[in-house]
Amino acid sequence: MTLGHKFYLYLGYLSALSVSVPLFAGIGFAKKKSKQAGILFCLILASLLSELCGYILLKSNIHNLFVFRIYTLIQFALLSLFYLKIINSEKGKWLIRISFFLFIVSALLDVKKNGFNSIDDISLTTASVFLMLYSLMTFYNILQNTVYQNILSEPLFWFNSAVLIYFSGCLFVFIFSNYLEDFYAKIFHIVWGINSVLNITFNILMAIGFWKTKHREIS
Amino acid sequence: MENKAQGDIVILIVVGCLGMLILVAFIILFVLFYQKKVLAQQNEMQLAENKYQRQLLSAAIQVEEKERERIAKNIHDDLGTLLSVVKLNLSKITRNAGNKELTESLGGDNILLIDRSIQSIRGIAKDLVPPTLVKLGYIKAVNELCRHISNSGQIAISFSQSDVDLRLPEQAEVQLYRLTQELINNIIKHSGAKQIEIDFSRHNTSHKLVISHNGKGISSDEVKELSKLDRGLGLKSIQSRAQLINAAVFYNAPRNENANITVEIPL
Repeated sequence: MTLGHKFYLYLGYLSALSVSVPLFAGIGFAKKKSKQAGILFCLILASLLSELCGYILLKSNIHNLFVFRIYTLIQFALLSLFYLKIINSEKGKWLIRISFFLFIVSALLDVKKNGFNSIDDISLTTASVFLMLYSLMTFYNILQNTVYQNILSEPLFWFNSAVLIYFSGCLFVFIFSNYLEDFYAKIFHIVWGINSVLNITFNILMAIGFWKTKHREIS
Repeated sequence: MENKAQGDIVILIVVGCLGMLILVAFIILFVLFYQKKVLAQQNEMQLAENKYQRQLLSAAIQVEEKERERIAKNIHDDLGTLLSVVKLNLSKITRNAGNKELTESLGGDNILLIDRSIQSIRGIAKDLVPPTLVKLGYIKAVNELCRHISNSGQIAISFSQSDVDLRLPEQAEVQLYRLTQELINNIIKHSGAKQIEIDFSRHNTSHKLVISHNGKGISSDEVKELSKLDRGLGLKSIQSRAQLINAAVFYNAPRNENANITVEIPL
């Protein structure tokens, strides 16, 4: 194993471990337990479980990609539920419901095309596009209704930024992931390193969000 | 060859990711700065609104003080003098109890003086709250006010209304009457008008009072400017009375038409 390979391997481990940061932040700081914070805490738990299962299966030489496929489904469902609670407009709520239906269709197509034990590039890309849309809608609502005295102390700002940064940054990685794995397996780990860095960023921003819920409700 | 293709793909994906991240960073920064800017504007507007409210309150207090001074002056100069004379007469009667002729003459004087005192008290009370306003309502009180002004012969004034028997809530009638008085007073004092027309009508969602005149008018913008200065006590008083009944006052001064002031009172 080259030094480069080792670097990306440890980066992957660090990315998997970084989920513990929002986990402890959620346990320690989220005192005002709102439904929205609860949903995001479930997402962090699901992320931790998927990373654990993936690692155990990898060490047992069993294909583990189906675990992340299931995680994508849970992740999108929980984040959609979160935004359903955050977005107040009826149009926005309908958009989320329709998006969820379209995501399920894309996930089924993905399984049909790629099989169960592969990277779910189609559903990941679809989820990313919809989640970016929800996140932008939320920022638009924040701009429309100036109710925050200091936006940096609002948990919603941090959670929403985490979603937007992670899913927009990873969009190209998700689009090309299966293609790279099939044809350029040697460089796949380099590209997947981007996902690891952004996942660490996502987890840090989520942890800040949980920390902010100590003093403020998510609204 | 294959290495070059691999490198190109990595660069393509990295550039794509970086592009997206730069775009997102721009969006987040825009949200942050826009939010700060809007908040600063809102705070500024709030400060201006608070200042304006303080000015209105101060104007209301000043008007009240002036009114008290006027009443005190009337009581002191008129009623006070009359009662002092009555007191003097009574002490003269006490000192000259045996002088029947003087006692009768002073007693008669006292009755006249007390009659004048009663009239004076009525006048002051009428000035405070016109009995017509309390008993018969705003429309009839304005009718009476117009009649008094017309009788002075200085200015022609007419009043039209859609419903003679219309009554508004008591508080609204008093404030609207005072507001009308102040508006007419301002027109007489400052516009040089020779003719005033007042119209009061009921609409679907509001009552509308329109006062038009052929003198020099004033626009809402000019009123705003005047209200910012320490002057314009009457205008501030009008605004503060209008606020009490949730009414809106619009001043119009068109070039080739009569100037008018519209007061809209929500139902």
